[in-house]
Amino acid sequence: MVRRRHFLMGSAVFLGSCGANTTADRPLEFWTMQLKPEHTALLEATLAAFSRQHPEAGTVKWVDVPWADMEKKILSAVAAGTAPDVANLNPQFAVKLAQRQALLDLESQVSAPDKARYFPNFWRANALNGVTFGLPWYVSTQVTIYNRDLFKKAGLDRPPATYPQLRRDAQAIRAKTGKYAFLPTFDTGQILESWVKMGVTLLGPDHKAAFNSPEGLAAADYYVGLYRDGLIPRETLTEGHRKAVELYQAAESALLLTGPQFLQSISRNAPELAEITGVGPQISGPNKKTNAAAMNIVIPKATSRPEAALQLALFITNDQNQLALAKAGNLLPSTRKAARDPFFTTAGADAATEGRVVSARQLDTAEVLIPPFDNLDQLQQMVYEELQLAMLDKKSTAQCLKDAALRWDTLA
Amino acid sequence: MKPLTLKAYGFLLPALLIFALSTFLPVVQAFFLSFTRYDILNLPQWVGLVNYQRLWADSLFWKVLGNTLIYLLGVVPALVILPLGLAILLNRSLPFLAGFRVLYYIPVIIPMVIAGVTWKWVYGERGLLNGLLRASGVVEVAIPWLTSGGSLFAVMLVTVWKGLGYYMVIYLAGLQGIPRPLYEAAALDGADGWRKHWFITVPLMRPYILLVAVLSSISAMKVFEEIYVMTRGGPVNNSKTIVYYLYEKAFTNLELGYACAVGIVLFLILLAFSLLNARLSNTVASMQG
Repeated sequence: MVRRRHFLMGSAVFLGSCGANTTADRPLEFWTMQLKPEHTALLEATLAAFSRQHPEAGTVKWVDVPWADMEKKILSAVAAGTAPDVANLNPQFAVKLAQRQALLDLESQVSAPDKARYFPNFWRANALNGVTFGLPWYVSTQVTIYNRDLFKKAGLDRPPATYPQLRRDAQAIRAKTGKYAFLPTFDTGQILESWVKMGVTLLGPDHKAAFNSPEGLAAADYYVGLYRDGLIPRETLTEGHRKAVELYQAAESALLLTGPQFLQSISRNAPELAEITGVGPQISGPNKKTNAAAMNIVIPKATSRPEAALQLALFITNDQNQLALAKAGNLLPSTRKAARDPFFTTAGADAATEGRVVSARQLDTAEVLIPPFDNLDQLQQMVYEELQLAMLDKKSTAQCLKDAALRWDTLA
Repeated sequence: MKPLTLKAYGFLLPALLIFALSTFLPVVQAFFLSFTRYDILNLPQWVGLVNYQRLWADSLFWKVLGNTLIYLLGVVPALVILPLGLAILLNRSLPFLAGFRVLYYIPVIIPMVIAGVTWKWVYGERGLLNGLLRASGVVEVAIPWLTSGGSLFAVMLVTVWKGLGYYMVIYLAGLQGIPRPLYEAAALDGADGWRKHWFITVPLMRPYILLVAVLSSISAMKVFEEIYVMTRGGPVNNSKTIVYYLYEKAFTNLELGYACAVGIVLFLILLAFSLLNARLSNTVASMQG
């Protein structure tokens, strides 16, 4: 009997302690995407500095999640009510959570001076239907990474700056080296972004499809032509960005259209290739638009400590901490003051620093060319599926655009 | 009920409870969710038969169901016949047999992800297969194994390659249970090798053949990893199967209610297979008994 009483009392104390464990005695939980082990020391120092400067917020528990697992992990955590207080996501995925009202609206929470610290384009990239669901963190603007040896063999001396040039270079590279110029990636927004650079308006003000236009036809025809003429690998249809990096690192393709941060992995994985790698500005179209990709910091609505979470989010994304991370990871900051640092204007001899400078030079004008909107991923899927059907000669390019527009309008 | 029986059920109860919670409850939950709109993040909303109506009108669903059926029809006969032939060959007392048995079993123990990535290299435009075909003059231009309408067939080949050893072991177990004197008696009656196989081996192996047919059918209906690793359902949904579609709806589009409806349809198909198996097994047992 005594033992049973002890058990019940113990259980009550345990359950009571579970219920009490909600705020100050619980560290803030912060999830990042694959920053370990390269940036472990830096992040730990940053979080320790936060705890020193904000003793009321307490300590921070840092959880690093691999890229590929982030969506599943955060979804299940939010669903189970165990979401982190602060998390690092990309806008494309964050928008899915925002669409389902799972993220805190930061528009009214962040002061005007704090907002003014960020590049306006990146601030806007985290807004959906008037709700700001995240703070901009590190960013990158795409650059044109190219294999100087393959270019030389193809009789070319500089990377393409426009899409027509890219096609001409692809023909020369294929004809003279037997290699491909590049692998367009269907698992990212790259192709749709290039359409915007080619002058295509994706959606009209009513959110209906606007890409079924003469510009849209030319843009779709561009990729269909590349495929049908054998100027891009067949794997384009089933592979993505990872394969594009692999092909470049194996010297099987001459160009890699991506962020400058990949230059570091090229140096690490293929040092000999890094030596013959050059960097050019992002390929653009007649409207001279350039695209930027942004990472963000979001605060799940389920957090029990929204004020402390916001303090942490602002701290992580302040000028000083963004600069430190950008320096460590060859990334670009999303705050204007940090981007003025000489680190982003002084090029070194290697491709990695060259890439950083080229990428940073585009920061002032670069935009997130496809800002978040409802069902963005579905639009991408529909357009890409139809485009692939045209590539495989199952339908004409005009029909593919018409069908993609019809499918989107039915959904929208 | 006798006290002894009651006691027995008492002992079984904890296991039955765990089984019910881990197996039946998710099925009931999925059935309930299939009548809701659910995105994981917000509470499910009851929508009645909407998901099933949508399923009926969803051309992609019918396409993936068709793909799954093609997959089933391609993979199952191969996995029923080829391992039986191999098992018969490897059931003899020939030199290096143990080595061959290991060789055929190796693909079974290789994780599917590794096998898939390896086969992607084999199938690549500059991969081993195209290299061999070009070197031997069979083709001039590389065959787009995984990037054309035939990608499903290329994936099917990997499933067969990987399943061969597993089903062969099942058949070997069955073959070793056939009494030797039956073959000896048949030999005395003048039966040659083929006749012995046809009139002794095949009839006595029927339960195993049925088992392999059902197991391989169920696993073909549930195929996912091969598709995920090798083609992601592409190009243009050509190799997308029902479980991949379910995964995509649930975890990419966050349409869990709809995904559950797809899951329930799959469940019903698998249930039909299992019932058919039970029926066939009973028929065979009565034929033999």
